[in-house]
Amino acid sequence: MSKVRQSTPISIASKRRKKRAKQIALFKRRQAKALRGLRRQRGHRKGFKTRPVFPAFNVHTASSVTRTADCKLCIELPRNLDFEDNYESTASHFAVLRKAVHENAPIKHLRFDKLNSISPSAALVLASEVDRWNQKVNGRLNARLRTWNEEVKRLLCQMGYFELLGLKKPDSVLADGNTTFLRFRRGYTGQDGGALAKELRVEIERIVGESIQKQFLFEGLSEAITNVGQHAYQNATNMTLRQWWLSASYQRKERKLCVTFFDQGDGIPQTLPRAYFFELFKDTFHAWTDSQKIAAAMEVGRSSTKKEGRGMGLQNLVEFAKVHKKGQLSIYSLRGMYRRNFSVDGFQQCNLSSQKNHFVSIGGTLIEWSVML
Amino acid sequence: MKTIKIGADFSETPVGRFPSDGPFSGERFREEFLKPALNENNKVIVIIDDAEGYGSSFLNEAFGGLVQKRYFTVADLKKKLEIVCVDKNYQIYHDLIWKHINEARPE
Repeated sequence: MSKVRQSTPISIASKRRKKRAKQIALFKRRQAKALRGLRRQRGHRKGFKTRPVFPAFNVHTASSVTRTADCKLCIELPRNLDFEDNYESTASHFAVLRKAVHENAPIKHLRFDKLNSISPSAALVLASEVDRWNQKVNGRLNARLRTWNEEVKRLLCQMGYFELLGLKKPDSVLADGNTTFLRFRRGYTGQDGGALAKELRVEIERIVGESIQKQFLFEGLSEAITNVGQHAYQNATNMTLRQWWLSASYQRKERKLCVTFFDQGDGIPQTLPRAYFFELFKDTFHAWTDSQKIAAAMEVGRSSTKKEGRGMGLQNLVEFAKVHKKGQLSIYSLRGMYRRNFSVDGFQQCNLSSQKNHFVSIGGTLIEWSVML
Repeated sequence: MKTIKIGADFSETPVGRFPSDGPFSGERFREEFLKPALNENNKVIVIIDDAEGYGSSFLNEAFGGLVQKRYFTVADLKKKLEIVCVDKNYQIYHDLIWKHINEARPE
């Protein structure tokens, strides 16, 4: 006969007390959560009249960035993401995401449903922003790929977006035979820039399938990496925030190699030393635009001023674009864009530069080399 | 006479100005290789075409730094230092090294 365990009156009372304590704790937690939500909602409503709900909101994100009832952000990416024709819209959406991640604002969705096309450089910046977000939530992001455009899915898959974020890759994605990509690479300042630049140079040569003028590619990459360490993250206290991202692509038919490097640092316009009095004067009165500052950083003479700036490093970036038949170097930093085109037609060399200023900052520095091999 | 092959004796991937930029910086090359060799020998030959490439910050700190730190004058270096490259793609670095030396001003 089996024994029936009988609980004593004391044990029953202690169980009841524990149960009651649990119920009280749960009630308090729920109450605190509701209060937090209410405060957030009040702050949201109150602030709406006096200041923008979210500082990064603008006309481009007015309809695509919304808040849910529980005050979480929903960001819907626009139809086209590229820095060439849709800079303001692209940079605005990235700015919202960056600010939300930086300020620990809860984000519910980053929707890719409407996104029809994305350029490789925009894909790199997007990957870096989502990578930061993923790091903040300890890699808990996931992707609902059913609603994604096939072309966007294919490009991001080829560029290594899913590997970078530790997400499951889509099952059936047809690769584009013409373009080969070097998958997104993430690096930290303080790593051996030389060894890393050599490794990247070898990988880029592998995707191209032939030897390219190694010293200029190495020079450009190593100086970009060193510049990030020296200047870009001067104000970043946390070492894990000092990161950069790189990607490369090669189009076989056009024989076009494109290398893109992005950091989320202070930007060239902010770190450029003011070498002359009139520069300081212009800067004080906001008459010196970001693109002019990038152009100033490209000056050869900037190094001879003994000011430790980016001028020398940026000169190295030019060489890789310069030594090929046709080359282009584009630098986007904060609100400025600076571009230099090089081409050799017979014995005639052409060297054209252009500048542009935007309303929205790119949130760091994007360097893009594209050369015809 | 002493010969220094940057790739073989120092590093194939020399990068950066200061040791904080990486283990194979211009300052380290200058202090540990170039300066002792120039002090102990009448002629120093530096072979540059066995490295991956050079950034301006490395070249400026390693070679221009010799004048900036008042270790040698430009005239001394013209007598003592010889930069050699066989690969014509590295000729640009040869010219850059002498440019950094000639433009360096003693601190």
